[in-house]
Amino acid sequence: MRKVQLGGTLKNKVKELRKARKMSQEELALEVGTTRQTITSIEVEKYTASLVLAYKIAHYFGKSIEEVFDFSEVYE
Amino acid sequence: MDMDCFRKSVGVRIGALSALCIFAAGAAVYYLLVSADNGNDGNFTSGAREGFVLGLIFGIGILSFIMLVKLAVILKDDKKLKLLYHKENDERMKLIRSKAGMPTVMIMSVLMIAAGIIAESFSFLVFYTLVIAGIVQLMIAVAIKFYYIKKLG
Repeated sequence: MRKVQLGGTLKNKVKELRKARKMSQEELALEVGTTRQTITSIEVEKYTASLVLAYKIAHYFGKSIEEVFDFSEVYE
Repeated sequence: MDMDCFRKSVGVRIGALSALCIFAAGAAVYYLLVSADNGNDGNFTSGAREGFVLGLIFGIGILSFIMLVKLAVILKDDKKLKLLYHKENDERMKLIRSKAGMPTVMIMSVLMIAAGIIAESFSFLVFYTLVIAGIVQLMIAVAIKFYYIKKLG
């Protein structure tokens, strides 16, 4: 099983949630106050959003951070 | 910073860039008409110095003008202004910039190049060393920036 260390990236459901709302990356970026490139990086799991951005994304979709970002692989 | 403050900040930047454009144009005219005639003794070092300083002045002027036009267009369009605000405050880009050592490297390079131009009056070797070191330092920072842009998606 993959284990996420400090500085590693988290699996997330941003792409599915965005597609479910039929939004473009650009639209989501505008809503949460970031750039399209950052949304792309988060979706392809090359970059992990900060706590504030993760909260904004989760809040926008009406979910908790844990529902959007998968913390199950993080080391305890 | 909210959008109104950011709008004001862009306005201030436009003012600063306009001043820089006027300064570059004035400096270029002064250099072409006055300074170049007095300082050029016809050898390679004088020619190289003149070429570099003139190129630098023109470069600053042209880049300032391009940025000025770009910001003036953005200021008229609320969506573009919001995009610029998000771009400048994007956490991923802030991380990339900090990994590339920006803006410290940028400031250091500008200071080294400026010091090189001043030092040219007593040593052409110092001029070359400082200018080349400043440019190489900038190029390394840009290369690191592109590496992290690619690495972080």
